[in-house]
Amino acid sequence: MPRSRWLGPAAAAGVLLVMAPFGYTLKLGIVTTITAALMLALVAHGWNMLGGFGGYLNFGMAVFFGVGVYSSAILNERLAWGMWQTLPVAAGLAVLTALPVGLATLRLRGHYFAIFTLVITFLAQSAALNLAITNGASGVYTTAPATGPRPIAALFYYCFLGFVVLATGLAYAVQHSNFGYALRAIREDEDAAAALGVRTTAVKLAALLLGAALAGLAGGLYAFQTGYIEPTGTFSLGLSLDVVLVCVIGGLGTWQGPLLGAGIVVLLEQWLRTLFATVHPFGWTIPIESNRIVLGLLLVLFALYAKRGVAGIFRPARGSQLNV
Amino acid sequence: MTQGLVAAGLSKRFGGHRAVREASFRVPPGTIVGLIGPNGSGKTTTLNLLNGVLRPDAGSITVDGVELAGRSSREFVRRGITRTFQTTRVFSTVTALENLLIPTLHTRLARRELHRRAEGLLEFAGLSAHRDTAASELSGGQQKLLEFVRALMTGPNTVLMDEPFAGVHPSLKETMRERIRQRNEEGTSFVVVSHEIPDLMRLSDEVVCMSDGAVICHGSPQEVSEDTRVIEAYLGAAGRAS
Ligand SMILES: Nc1ncnc2c1ncn2[C@@H]1O[C@H](COP(=O)(O)OP(=O)(O)OP(=O)(O)O)[C@@H](O)[C@H]1O
Ligand SMILES: [Mg+2]
Repeated sequence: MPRSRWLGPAAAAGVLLVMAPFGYTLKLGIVTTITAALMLALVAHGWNMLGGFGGYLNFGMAVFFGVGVYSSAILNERLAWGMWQTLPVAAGLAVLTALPVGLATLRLRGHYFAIFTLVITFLAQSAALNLAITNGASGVYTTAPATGPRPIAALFYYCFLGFVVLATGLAYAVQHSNFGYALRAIREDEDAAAALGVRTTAVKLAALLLGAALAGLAGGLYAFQTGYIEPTGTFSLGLSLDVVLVCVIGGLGTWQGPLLGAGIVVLLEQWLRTLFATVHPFGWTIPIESNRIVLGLLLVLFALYAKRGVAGIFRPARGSQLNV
Repeated sequence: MTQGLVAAGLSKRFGGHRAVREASFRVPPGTIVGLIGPNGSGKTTTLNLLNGVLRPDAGSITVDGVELAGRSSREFVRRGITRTFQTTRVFSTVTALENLLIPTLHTRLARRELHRRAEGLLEFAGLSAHRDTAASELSGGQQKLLEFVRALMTGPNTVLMDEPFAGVHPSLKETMRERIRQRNEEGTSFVVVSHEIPDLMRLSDEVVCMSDGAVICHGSPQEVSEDTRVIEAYLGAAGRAS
């Protein structure tokens, strides 16, 4: 145990050291791709708190991300706030959005939460489309916090890298704390956990809010990275599903899972995109959106046959397998 | 104020079935109360009422004079009532040590102190070597012991134990009995449900017998084992079964 305990963090620190100069040494396109993976990892870390450790599947992570995006963008456009000033508000408003969602659904066991989270993505989309403050379908523009392609790419690379490091540390701490053990107890046998005196609703709610904060932060950064935001791209079911996929592939309820999963999913999406653009079976053009089908299949395969995800390969099996 | 755990007029229905009917008994501080009765007589349901897993339809549960009927399990734990389960419910994907830490989430003790206590209890249960073993990899008997010491982590004054000896090898059973006695000598009360009547009679200070959801007899092991209603309840059940 003590050996495997420091092996993972040591490997992660090594990877971080290698990644440190990338913002300036790699080609712009590659820096942007890695940044996309880091962003996905950050939101996935947020998802993993309740979804991975606690076993409550959330299909609405894009809502908390999107609230972060809009908070930062609106504060920047209307009040000319700088990026760093907006980030705490982005995280805070994402948490405030998650609060009623959690209060309404987490008292109940089972699938109510999952179904409810599936619905809220569409609610958020139509709210953003119809509210005056979000400027409807016209969207919101943000001002870039740096000038020139390289400085901008490098800035967001390091910002996301920094937050991913913090979130990974947080996930590690959760995984090895009584809070994390209680979440895993909830995933396994919530009634027993409650009978032993664990305040299960409060624990689940705390995990949800912690996750929403991370997603909101990621959204706040993204608002400045992308420069222009609009409702459907921001509150996208695609992102909500991607983070689930990331955690399932990477390994549910492990601090490594979101990192490994995000890398794999982003690489795979890129590869599929080029593949579908260049391959024309019988002269047909494969629609770009077909990659969703491939990723969906992958989700099912991992859920059925590799429940511990890629992180499970690196760690000896411990205990019985869990259902996704 | 009445000290200890007191159940008065407890009732619980499941649909039309009255699983517990106006059950009343007391667990004075420092005693081991054996709870016996045929299958389906309401023993597990009674334990579920006594730690807030189920809400009674009627009746009162007081702990040192404080009314707890209808409160959450969390509140019962805070007042010193903890439990084990009839079919063992350890958390299989976390280690033995982590199993012990789970009920302590809301206590204010420092992590160091909790770890010290958990390791002490693992030692007490003879499970020190399995500290970092996933609970699913422990034997059934070891899981029962783990469940027992998990119930001790929050420093309870009364532990409710549902079938602690079922499916446990005689030597481990002896360990379990020994440990219960030891804790009892240090002042912890127990309610022990068991079908192993002779063993339970030797362990208990008092015995409560249930039949069809009602308490039909409450007294010393001697009194209860000679009570005709108890003999009738058991023979009756056996008679119906055959
Ligand atoms: N959740 C439930 N829903 C419906 N009926 C229940 C429920 N729990 C218990 N019962 C019924 O209540 C009665 C008492 O059950 P209980 O489990 O308390 O018996 P018991 O004395 O513990 O029996 P055993 O010795 O077999 O464990 C039984 O008839 C049982 O079928
Ligand atoms: Mg029972």
